[in-house]
Amino acid sequence: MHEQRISASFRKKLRDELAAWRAEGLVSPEQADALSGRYRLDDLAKESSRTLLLSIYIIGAMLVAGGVVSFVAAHWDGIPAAAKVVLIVLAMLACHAAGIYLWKIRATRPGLGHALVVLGTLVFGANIGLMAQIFHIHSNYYNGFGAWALGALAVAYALGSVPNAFIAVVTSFIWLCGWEDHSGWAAVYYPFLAAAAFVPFICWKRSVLITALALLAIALGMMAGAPHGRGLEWRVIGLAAVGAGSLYAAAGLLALGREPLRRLGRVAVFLGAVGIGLMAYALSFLHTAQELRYRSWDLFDSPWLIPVAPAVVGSIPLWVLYARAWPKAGALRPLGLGLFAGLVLLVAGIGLALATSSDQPYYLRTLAEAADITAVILGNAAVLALAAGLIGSAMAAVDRRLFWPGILLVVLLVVSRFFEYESGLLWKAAALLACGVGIILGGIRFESYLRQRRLADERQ
Amino acid sequence: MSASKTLYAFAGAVLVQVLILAAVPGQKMYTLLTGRTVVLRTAPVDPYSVMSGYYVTLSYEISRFDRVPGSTAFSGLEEDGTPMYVVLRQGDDGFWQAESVHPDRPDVAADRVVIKGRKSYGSIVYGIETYYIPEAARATIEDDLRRHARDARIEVKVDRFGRAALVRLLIGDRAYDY
Repeated sequence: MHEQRISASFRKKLRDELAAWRAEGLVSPEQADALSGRYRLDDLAKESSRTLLLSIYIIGAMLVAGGVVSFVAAHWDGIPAAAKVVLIVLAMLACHAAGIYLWKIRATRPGLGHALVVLGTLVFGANIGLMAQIFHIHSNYYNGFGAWALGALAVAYALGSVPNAFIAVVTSFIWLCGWEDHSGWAAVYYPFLAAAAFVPFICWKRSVLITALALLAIALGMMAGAPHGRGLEWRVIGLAAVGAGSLYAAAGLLALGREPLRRLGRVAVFLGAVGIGLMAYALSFLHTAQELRYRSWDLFDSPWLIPVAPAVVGSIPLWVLYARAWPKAGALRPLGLGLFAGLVLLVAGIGLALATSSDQPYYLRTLAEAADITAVILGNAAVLALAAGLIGSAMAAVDRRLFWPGILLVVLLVVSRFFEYESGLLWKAAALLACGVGIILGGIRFESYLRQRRLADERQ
Repeated sequence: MSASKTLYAFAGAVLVQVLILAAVPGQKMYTLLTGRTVVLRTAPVDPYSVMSGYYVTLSYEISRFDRVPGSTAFSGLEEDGTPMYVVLRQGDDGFWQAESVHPDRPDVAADRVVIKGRKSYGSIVYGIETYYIPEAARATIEDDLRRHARDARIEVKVDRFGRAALVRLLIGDRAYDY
């Protein structure tokens, strides 16, 4: 089969349709067999039962583990410390040994074997807490999650295990949350550590789940950075959204043009668009622009910028590469253009607000009010640019998954402006009516456009 | 990756997990083996909130940052997690008391001990604030703590790096060692 991974649901649908086409004589038996071979339709039943078995094995293994844990817990107090240590380490090793035997050595039950290895990593996590309890160790809880992430990551790389990588991403993020609560430097280190830990795995296994979670964790890590004790700040969130959004959008758009990376590219573009879109939407409010400008700003005392800067700088060559590839991007050209335009407008808006922040020279501060309004206009324009890109690509690609988010962005913007500023009830009513009617008419026009395009394609 | 390489890689990964588990009590074992014994008086505690599940939350006289002699040398605005070195001296009653606190480890005479803590929400924590107890002993300890709240103390070991490890809990004339 060609390299692109076809979804199981598509193959199931094709299997059902193929039977009907064959019965109706639309395809010859030879053609049906060729299609069946190309899409490995005969393997569907086996794959389905494999997935079901893996799920059953994981649930069963967890129940067995729960029973064993309860039994041991009932006698826990009476067991000497050394025996407790031996017991919990043996439980972990037993899970791992049984798992690798069934999965890789004997290879008779790979699903069950994989489930047992995952269980071994879960037991490892529990063991960290139990060891601390046995030896009366008082430590910050997040250190345990950090150690758990490290152990899970080692197994993920050793076996290419996506569930172990999943555990590693989740526990590493919990580690960040606890660490950030105690030290403002956590968000400085975490994005680099997470990128170093998970990006090679993503390149290797090309898992959509790990890509989405890891990219999200890295971006949230960048956003969490703030001068210690001040909580979240718009300045940090804004610049982190720009950095992560720019990097993810550019890398994702490039990946969309390369078949093996297309699915990962979709995830990166989605997260990039969410980052740019959310921050642009936030900047469309006057309050955000004022908040960005309100607090003092010392570029050289902002360690949280350390991970943001390489993201921004790293995204520049990717955008240059994408600009070269843009003419060949086909239906996604409007989206690429919309993302880039939205990003530029957002950077201009945030840059303007920060440049006129409260500790700037007097002559710049006098421009503050005008700067606020300009930043807000740029924020609104950034949202509209993104919406236009989505709608444009939806029309070109005949894809409603892009059309509706674009329409919703426009509606959200209009409704937000009417509720943000003082306007009479009549104006509000008119705006809501116009939005509602606009959505309905837009939807009808788009659906009819889709139908016409489909008919035209069928005629050809 | 070939089958044998996969097995070696997996064995290495499991070894990493085992080493991480070994590292959890590793430092404490070192401290217990090489450390010097110190008995600390626990700070008066609310007898009704001292038990949290299956562990005792301990606080010491040396835990209150503002009560430690020499703490005025600090600005008080240090970030949580800032290391602090407290010099302990044995009092006439046998208990060890704070003599001074320093941002860096000081050199002290042989009859003094330096214990390392970290600032945490206006207190100094030493990693000896939690003592896990078996369920069966819970009621006895709770009752003892209520009746002898002012006579509870902890025996700890402090190693040459200032790291502390709990040895046992002493309440009145009873010793609890788990």
